[in-house]
Amino acid sequence: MRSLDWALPLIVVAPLLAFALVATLSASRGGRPPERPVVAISKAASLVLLVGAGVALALVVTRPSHTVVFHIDPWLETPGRPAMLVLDGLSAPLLGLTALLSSVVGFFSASYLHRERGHSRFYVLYNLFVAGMVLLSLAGSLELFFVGWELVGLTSVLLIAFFHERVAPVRHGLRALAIYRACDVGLLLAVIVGADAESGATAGHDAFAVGGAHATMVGFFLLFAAMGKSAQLPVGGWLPRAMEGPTPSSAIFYGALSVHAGVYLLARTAPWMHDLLAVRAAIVVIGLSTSIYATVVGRVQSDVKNGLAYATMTQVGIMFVEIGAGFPKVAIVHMVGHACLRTWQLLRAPSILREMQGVRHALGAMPPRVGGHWERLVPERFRDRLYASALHGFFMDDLLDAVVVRPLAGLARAAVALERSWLAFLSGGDRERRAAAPRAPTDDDHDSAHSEVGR
Amino acid sequence: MSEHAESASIGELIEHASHLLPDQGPMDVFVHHNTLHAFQHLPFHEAVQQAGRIFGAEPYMAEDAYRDAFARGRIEEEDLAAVLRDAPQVIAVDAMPIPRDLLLRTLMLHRVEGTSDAMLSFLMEEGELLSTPRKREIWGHAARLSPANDPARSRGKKSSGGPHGGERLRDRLLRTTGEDTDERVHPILIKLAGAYLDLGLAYWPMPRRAGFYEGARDLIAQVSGAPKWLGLARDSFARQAAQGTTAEEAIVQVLDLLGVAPADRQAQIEAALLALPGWAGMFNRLEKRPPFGAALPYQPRVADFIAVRLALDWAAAEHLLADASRDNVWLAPPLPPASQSIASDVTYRLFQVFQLADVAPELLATVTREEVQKLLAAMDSFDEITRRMAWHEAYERWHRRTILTAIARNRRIERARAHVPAAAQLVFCIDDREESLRRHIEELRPDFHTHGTAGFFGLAIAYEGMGRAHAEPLCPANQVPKNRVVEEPFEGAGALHETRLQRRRMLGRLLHGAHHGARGLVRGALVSILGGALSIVPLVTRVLFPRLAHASRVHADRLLAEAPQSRLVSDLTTDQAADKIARTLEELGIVGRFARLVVICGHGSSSINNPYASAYECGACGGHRGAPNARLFADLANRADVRAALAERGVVIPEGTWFVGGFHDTSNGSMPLFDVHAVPETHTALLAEVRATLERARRLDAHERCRRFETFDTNDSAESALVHVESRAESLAEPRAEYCHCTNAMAIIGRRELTRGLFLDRRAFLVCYDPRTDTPDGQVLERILGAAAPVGAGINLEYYFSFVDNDRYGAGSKLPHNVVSLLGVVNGHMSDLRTGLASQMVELHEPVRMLTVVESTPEVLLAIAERSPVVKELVMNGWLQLVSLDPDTGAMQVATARGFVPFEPDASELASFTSSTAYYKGQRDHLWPARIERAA
Repeated sequence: MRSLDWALPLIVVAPLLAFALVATLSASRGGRPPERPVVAISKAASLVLLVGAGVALALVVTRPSHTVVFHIDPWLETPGRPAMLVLDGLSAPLLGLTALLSSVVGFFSASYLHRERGHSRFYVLYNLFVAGMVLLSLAGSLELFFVGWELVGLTSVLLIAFFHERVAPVRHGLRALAIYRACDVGLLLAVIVGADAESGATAGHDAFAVGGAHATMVGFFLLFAAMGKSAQLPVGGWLPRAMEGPTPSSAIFYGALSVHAGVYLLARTAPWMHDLLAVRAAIVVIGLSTSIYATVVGRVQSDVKNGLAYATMTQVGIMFVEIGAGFPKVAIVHMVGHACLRTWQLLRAPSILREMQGVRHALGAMPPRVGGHWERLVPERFRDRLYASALHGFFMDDLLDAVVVRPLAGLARAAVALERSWLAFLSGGDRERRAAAPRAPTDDDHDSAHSEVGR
Repeated sequence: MSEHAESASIGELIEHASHLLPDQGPMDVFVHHNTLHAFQHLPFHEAVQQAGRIFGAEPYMAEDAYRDAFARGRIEEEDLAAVLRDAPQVIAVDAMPIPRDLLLRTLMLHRVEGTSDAMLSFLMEEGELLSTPRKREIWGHAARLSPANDPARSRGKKSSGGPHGGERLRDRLLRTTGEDTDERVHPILIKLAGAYLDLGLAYWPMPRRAGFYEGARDLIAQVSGAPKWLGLARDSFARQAAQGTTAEEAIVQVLDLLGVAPADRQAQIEAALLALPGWAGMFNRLEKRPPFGAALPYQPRVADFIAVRLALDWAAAEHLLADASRDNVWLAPPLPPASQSIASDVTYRLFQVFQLADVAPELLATVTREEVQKLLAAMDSFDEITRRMAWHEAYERWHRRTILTAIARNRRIERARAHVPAAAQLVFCIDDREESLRRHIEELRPDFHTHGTAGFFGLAIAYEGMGRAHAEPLCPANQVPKNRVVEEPFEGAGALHETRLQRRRMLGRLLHGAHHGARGLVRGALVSILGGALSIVPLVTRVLFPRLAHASRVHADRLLAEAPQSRLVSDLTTDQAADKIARTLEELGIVGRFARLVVICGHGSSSINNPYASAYECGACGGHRGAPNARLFADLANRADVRAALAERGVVIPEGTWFVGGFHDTSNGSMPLFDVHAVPETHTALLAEVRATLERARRLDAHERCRRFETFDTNDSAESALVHVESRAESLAEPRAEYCHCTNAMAIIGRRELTRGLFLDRRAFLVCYDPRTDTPDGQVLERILGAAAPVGAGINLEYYFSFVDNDRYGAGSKLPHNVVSLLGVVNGHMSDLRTGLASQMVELHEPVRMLTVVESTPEVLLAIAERSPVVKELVMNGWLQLVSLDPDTGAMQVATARGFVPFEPDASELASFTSSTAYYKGQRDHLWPARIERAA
């Protein structure tokens, strides 16, 4: 098997190379290169990825106990934390899923985005995303995983804001960015704290191991990171808002791959969290409350993409429960099935009118009334109240803004003011003038310099 | 207006304001209509400019687009000169340093604009602005001649825009506080409106759907955990609920709270509606004209929508004002315009004009300030909108000239030809997409004659197809079907039919359950874990192998249950049928000249993953497929009793003539014929010939269409073109199944000899009309115009507006669209309901008003306009360009505001090709008329 180790990095490099080529081509043609080469390059990378993933899956299926490892470069490694790619029973399914769904979506987009102004921009981001996803699935250490994770997050945000000539996509992209960055802190802390802990000893090839004195803390950090990327309560409000991009990017990110990255992270670390009952309990609680929340909210949505976004949230919540309950393998099977189903549903979201007409014609009448079991479940006097709040997602984002964002922003503003006055005090002199001018936290020295010139 | 507003009731004010709203109904039936229908009582240019100001929309293409057309030769020198000659809006002064015509031409061709002081000093110091002595001299004169300080001058030229009537409180707050209350109100309002209007998308439908105001009020009143501002709305809604306030009363309450004077109410209500025109428009449309045969689960009213909107507006503003001093905010003056020194702005414009018009410095030395004042006044009066209007006229003039000349030439050639008697006659819809197919059929078989008439063939029916849940109205949207037609299984097939219905019902229940189940909690998990991965199969085939996916679907359908042979049963009496058939045959002008076989061919269009699918179907059938009409027409025309009744009416169908119904799918190119088993043996040989010709023609038609698709290699064969269009129609990933009416530009109403052998590039509605068989006062033409003019102009104008301003009048790109409430689309997560056409549907369009050539005299046309108000409005106000073509002499006259003006064809000869393919092969752009002449 050793002879095939060298091939592992090829799978990562192919989309990365495609990204570099498309980006260069795009830059050299003023952002509007011809479509054919852009698509051809991306398809070639997909092909390499498909073949690679196919071989990888075959290897894992035929020799389940074996693990293919590729050490990138000892120079990058710190003691006990090797930089390596790992192909095993966990990474192979995600790799296969990534290869298959990204190829279909890449193919789909060739005609769907034909003549669109951002055509090459889409493919630049798409290839970078695929590279991130492959790296994330094959990463043998949290550090490498973090790189893939960040690429996925960045491209996701930029694709939500794909139609940047309108306000809403940019605003919603920014919201996703804020949540991602906040939760990435969890992963970063896990890497740092985990590196301190002597976890290297736990398993030879797998540096996802959570161990040592800070194991519980690291577990919570990882959970926090996973909550952001996988849109769990209370930070999942970005997911429905992410439906601003072109339909295929919504499908691949929020139906298929990106949204499951958190599930994969937890499934990967699950063996080492087996004894961390507090963490596992938290995973179950968060997953369960998210699924219940999302299913209630999703059931009242009267548009197709929001409905699917909440349906995704519901299932991802259940996967969290499965992992917390100690069945990570079930979660992986669930993830694969769910990703395929949701991609299919999202890509054909524009068909819903026809689909419902078809149902009506087949039935020969209006479809039977639905929602009955809700009415049995919820007592009548609470029903309207539940509906009214569910329609607006129980104001989860407003709550988050009021409880976290505004106090944080206030704190930041206070810190800036403190720093300013401290600096002013240290530099002496123009203390009064600076104190007189009211400042927003975005004010920086450029602004003040500018306004002085203006005067 | 203000007096009216003061005395009028809220209901009247709303009624008045609602005319401004888009009039698009639920999307499963998409009927093209003039986007600015509410302005149709105004002359075209006045209407587009006024609407542009109200909606903040573009009235024409951008100036640069026209300049680009001029550079390409799509507008020529003579068009520009002719248009400038009679640009009445411009102050004409002769005593200017630059002659009027030269000045106007200069302003048309070059961008002459003022600039900022900073930019100017940069240009002077770093750029080449004053690089030569001559330039410096001209600058000196320009500076000397600039008026010292004229405040009126400093106002920038606004292309369009400016708030209409009353300013909303939200606008004022946005300006003074930087906070946009719409950002809070719209998410709440849109969710409520979407849930209320939902026709079955949500699993848990909105409770309390009696009225939107009452429903939304009672729901918001119970909301918990709401942000503070919504809490204010909740409290006030709770009060209103307790008092039993009506929507109208609630509106008045809020208007009074905001301190709106009665005179401003009208404007405030308009502004409140136009803040979300799509949603408000849907309430309005459903209130006034609910969809055919549907029982809505609610009673939508615009008044309800405004009441909720204003209440939320008030709450958001109140919250924002809580810590601001409200009087100051509301009374804050408008922001002053950015300061700009007037002198340099004017000097710079003069400097440019002097140079561009090549005025000698020596001449400038003698020019006085007064003359320059007049020059500047002339420049100001020829502002951007006026220039674009002039450009647009020139753009249409070139098109008119080219097309009319071609028709005149073609008519001369065709008239000189010997008449080939028809072996078969094929009747199509007037649709522009049938032009190429008809041309190819006639190219292949000159003895097969084609004809065009509105694609419902005069049969306005409510049609209930076999295995359909409800009847569909198959007639133009402005008609109500009077007769009912049901498709029934053939005798003996009843049992098969029952089995099929039963199995389909089972399938329906399964699909319906799967739809909701896959989105649920427990069922969703089971579906994902156990069967989710299976979705990869349809996913891959639908994206990569669309034709295979379609074929297997058809196969699966057949496996489920074979569709039995069917027949049509109508409630038309023999007399009714004969009347309708006679009228259509009269309009077609084939009475007395029947061929042995007459094919009546309806049309429609297949596409998937396309919320706009209905817009691609037959407009004359109200956005449905015209197949049943064609089939019924043939069926009736073959019946002995109907033929006898027809003979009584002077329409004698010879014994040897047989009618066959057919259908043309303009997207995948298929052409099935109906009830061929009933065709008499004597006609089977001829039928076989017709079928062979159609097989060939539909491939050529697909080939010609494919030249527009960049993903199709124009060197490929007609056979591969058919494969290409078949996969397009079934591909999940294809936002352009076909280009639909995208290139429509003209309608030609007259005998086929005007257009036979003329390559019109699928841009013409071709309507058959024979003036010789009409009454002297044009009664047949009146019927034809009454149907074709509004339908054609509706399509043409919807494309015009969706093209010139795709963001305001159109729906933007399809790619982020999200179907909502089974009624329409929004952008992404949520937005206003998008109306009009998507950018992918209009991208090849040339915005010209439909050039309508009618083979008739101006006198007859004027008489018809007097009798038919619809036609009169369209023609007199210039919403279409009407041209009369004298049936005898061929002389043409163009209808203008000043009456009919003779048109003289230019001297150019018509290019000639041996086949359509020879002409279009390898070409992607618009192709102008050419003669297709088979080599002898």
